[in-house]
Amino acid sequence: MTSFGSVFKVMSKDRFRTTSKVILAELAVIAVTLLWSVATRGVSSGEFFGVTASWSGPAFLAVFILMSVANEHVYTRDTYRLIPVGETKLYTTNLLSSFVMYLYFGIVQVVLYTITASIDADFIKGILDGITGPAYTNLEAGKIVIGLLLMGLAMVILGWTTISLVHLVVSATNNFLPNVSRRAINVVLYVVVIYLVVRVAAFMLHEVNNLGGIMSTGGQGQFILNIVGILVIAVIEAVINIFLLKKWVETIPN
Amino acid sequence: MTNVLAINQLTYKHNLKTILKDVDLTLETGKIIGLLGENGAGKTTLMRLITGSAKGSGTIAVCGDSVAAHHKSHVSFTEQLRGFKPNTRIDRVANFYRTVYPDFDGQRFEELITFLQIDTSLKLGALSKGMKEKVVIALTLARQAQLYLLDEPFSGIDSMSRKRIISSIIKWKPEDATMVISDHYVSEIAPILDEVVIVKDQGIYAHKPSDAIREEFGIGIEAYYESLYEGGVKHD
Repeated sequence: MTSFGSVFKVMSKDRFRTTSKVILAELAVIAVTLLWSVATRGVSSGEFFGVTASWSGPAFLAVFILMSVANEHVYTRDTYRLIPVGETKLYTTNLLSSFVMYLYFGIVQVVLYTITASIDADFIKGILDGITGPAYTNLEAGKIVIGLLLMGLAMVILGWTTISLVHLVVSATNNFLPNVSRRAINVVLYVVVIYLVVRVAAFMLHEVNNLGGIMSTGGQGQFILNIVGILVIAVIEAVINIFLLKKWVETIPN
Repeated sequence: MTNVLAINQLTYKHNLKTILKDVDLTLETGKIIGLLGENGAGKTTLMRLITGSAKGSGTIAVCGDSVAAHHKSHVSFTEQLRGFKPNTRIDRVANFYRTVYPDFDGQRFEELITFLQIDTSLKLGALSKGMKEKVVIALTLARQAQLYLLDEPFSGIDSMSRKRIISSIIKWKPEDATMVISDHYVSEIAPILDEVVIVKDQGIYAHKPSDAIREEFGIGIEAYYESLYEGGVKHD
């Protein structure tokens, strides 16, 4: 049987290339935006950090989508399904590979934020000094940042397991149903997915909005519980996905 | 002789349509076997069931192992490289195979690509159908497997390439390995076949040694195969 390291290596190679391309594209867009500012009206205070932060969001979304596509690709292609490993190893390695690439992208973003924040240090300090509201200690602020990061990563994992669940359920049911029922079931499944995505997004926004309040009132336990809850749902979905892969999900024929 | 493959009561349905029903098939080691049948008979499905790419009911044991995930270690299948992007170079595909298949023999692959006249710097998207089939054959035969499944390796390719592929099969098939070649054209592969398995009417319609066909019916494999469809030969 093939080792975990070998499967991880082949799965990560292409994803690393894809992620790096997104980073290059992001850097190019940031550079063009700043050059445009220089050419038209000059770079204003705080613009380096502001432009970087603005383009970072779409880039995060792009990497999430591209990694999702790469994940799903593995489940229906003989190229990957014929690798001599069990479905559990294939699934977990696939998910881990995307997760590591997402972390790689995140670390690059942190570096970009750090560089541009140091360029615009005075501007950012001025903004922070002007913020009124609860006065957080450094420890509380640190907890909020870490809490947000953990919540974000947990949501990314849940996002991928949910996308896989829908894909694999559709793929598995397609084998059993005649064409007409297949289309109807697919429509129902897509509606369910959109509903779930909206609910999850609403939950996430709610959590983020309440994070400051939860932390200042000593409710970290509740927040951690929410993160654990998300991960438990992700694990349950992953177990169902692996079961579907083992029992029903076929590859696309030659 | 030991059995490389033992299929018992295998049934496969897709979209409520039965493709294969109660299939029993046993293949011995060291043979070259023609898996024959018209388009849609279920030849590719049978191969996909053996590799685990399709899911049916019944048992399939490869080298005595009936765990589906383990079959992949014993079987080398001509998959059509759909997991790669069209801009992937052949040498990168070979590196992928080298990494994930512990039985991939790099030296053997080099010999095969030289013999089949493949330029490994080419990208998959730039290959003709025949050239791509040669790449698939080279990758499949470069593994040291016990069971090789070649799914219609000659479809849509020119006669010179077909001859080269047949030569490569003869040259690089390990002596103790079994090779199953599916096709609906018989004439060119008939001379190298030890046995033929004919898929018809959702099952194995006939499974006979090539020599027995010639002796029993006094006709070649191609004529025998065609007569089964025309009703000229009564199947026992």
